[in-house]
Amino acid sequence: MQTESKSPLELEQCLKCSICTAVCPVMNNTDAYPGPKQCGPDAERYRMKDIRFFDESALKKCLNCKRCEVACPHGVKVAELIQTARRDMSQHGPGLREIMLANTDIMGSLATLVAPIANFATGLQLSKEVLHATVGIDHRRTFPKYAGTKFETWYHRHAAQNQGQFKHQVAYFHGCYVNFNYPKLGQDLVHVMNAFGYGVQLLEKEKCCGVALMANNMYNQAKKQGQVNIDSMRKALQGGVETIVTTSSSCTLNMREDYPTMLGIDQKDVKEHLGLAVRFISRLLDEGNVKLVWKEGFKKHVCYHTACHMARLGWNVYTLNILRQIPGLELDILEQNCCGISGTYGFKKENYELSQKIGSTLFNDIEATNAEAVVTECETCKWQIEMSTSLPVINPISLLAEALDLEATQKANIR
Amino acid sequence: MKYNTVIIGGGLTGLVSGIQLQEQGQRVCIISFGQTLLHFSSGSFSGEESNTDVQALLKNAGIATVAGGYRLTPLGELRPAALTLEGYYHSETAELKEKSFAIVRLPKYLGLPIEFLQDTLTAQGREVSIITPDEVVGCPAEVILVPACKAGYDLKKTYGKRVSLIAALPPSIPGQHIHAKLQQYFQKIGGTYINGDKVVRSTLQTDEKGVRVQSVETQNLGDELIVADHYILASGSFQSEGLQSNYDHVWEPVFGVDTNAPEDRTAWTALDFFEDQPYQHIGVLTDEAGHALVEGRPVSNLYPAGHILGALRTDIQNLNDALRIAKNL
Repeated sequence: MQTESKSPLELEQCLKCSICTAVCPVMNNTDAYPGPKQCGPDAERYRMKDIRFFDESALKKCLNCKRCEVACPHGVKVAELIQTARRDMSQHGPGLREIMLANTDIMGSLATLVAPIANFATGLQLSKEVLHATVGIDHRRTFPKYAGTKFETWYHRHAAQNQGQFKHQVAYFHGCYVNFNYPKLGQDLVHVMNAFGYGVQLLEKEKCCGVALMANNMYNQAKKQGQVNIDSMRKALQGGVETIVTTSSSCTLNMREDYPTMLGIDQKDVKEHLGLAVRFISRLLDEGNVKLVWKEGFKKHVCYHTACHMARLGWNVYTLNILRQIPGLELDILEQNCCGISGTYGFKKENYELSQKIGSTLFNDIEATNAEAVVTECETCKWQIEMSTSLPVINPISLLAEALDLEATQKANIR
Repeated sequence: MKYNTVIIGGGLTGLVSGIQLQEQGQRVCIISFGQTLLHFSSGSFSGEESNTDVQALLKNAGIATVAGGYRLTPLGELRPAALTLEGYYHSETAELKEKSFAIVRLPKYLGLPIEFLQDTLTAQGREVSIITPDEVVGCPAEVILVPACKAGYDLKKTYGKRVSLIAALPPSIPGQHIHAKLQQYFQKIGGTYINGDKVVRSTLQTDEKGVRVQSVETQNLGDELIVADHYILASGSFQSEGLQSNYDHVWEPVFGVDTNAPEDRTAWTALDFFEDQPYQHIGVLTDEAGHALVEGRPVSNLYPAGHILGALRTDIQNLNDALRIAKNL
């Protein structure tokens, strides 16, 4: 007699309680998506018998926010059931649009070379119309700006030579967004870690984590890139760094949770040393191992948005622990709602309106706080919220860099 | 991470005790795995006696309720309720006061058995019509019922007191509202709410003074030790996995608290489905002061509360216990 559940992704644990459908941002905003329960555990039983029950047009509507998995009282990997079905049963290769959107590092490298031109061009209504009509990237969307100097270039020019002076060392997986679009976040990270007495190293080789590739069904390439990342992290850990810190919640969730299940990459030894910088810093603060010198008279009113993948990681507790310690910070915690962009999902023209409709609850909540800025760990949430509300969006690490007297903190921590 | 009290379970019992403790000045962390039984809420809190403390606490969190009286079930029967959300149909007496009812049929919505409801109300001698949302204006019925779904809440917003909500099939919209409000309020007053995470390990310490919980660890936070002076175990019954069973035995998965489950497996269920089912009375054991018993010994800082003590307990019993435990910590 079988006494334990052995079903893949906890399929058999589904009680049919429908709680996942109540939290699904897509299902609650369109009739075109049958919902996580139906597309996940319900349909999986049929798909196991016959591939004819694989309905790609429905499954494509899932934005993989994983709120269903956070809500499930029985640990069913609902979103993963949907994504693995797409991975294993889809007959369609990615189109030009998918290749463009998913290859964030290649596109980033190209765009950085010609950043002013790229930013000018993607800002032009004409080019937006061309992209809309030819490849299907929605013309109403604001594109992320590319930085003229990559974070890696800045690091090698201005930071690398100073890192040796610190007794403790961490490695930083910066991700494509910091490298190509927003080097300032990476700079803030280096400054904050330095202030706490930690030197920051880059990995020997860093590739895009692959989250966008996976969302667009390019698993082979994602696996190759993932393996490079994990190998580099392993090497860094063997070389003596204490941990690997990140600033992006989606990259982190992908590398920690989805690499083994979706890509078959064995990273058990690395996983426990790989996490968001907020986790590392929150633990440093709890242990009382660092001294903090705050800027005098610092005052700011922010609201915190728990990005979907941050919710799935379950780590907003670390961010809130840090934010609550900043004197002069007024903090509103927003109700957990999806912003609607979900990486590349909202860039596709067939999803644009739905994406904005999904986000509208969050956008209204944000405006109602009267805060000066939104704090979140997710870069695509940042694009979406900045495009759809009047508020700027910052990463908690940047907020920390803004609130700390970095120089005095560094002096207090290096003796 | 250090707290005064850690609460395992983020449902009604966990949140209300958390709010009470936080308001008493404690630093509280709630660890919640998946959504809670609130997602099956009828819009009322079950039990016969209301409690003004509970009602006041709910009100502070933005949840307005009416005490006592009767709620109307989706099948058209009146049942006693301790507290009912404002806006829901509510009767002060055990008999329907009004003579005429209209039920709004929402397009494409199947979550309320409308004809069934019409039949039972008609059988109680009431005049019952079924109308469309457009017919609300000018409808002569004394009571207009709309199902408590998203579209029903929109109608309620438009027509205010002219329409009354009635519970519909889960997942429950009122339950989600209650949960969201309590969770938001708990965080607003400084509480830490860990969502979608499971306690996977607990460490008990035994010395001459007895047994106590030293720390717990969760799935998502890895090797992070969560340490508190007190622990409230409000993880629910079987449906919420506060209790688990296989073919041999019933156990409480976090601390291994003793249960009152009969050893004989056949004694867990009654053959007639409609009989009182013994497994619904299975719960964890405590001493007289409410400390959990593990291998027969009281754990001095662990207090079970809510449905983990038995699935048939009413909301008000759970809420009263939550407040009582919190006030004693």
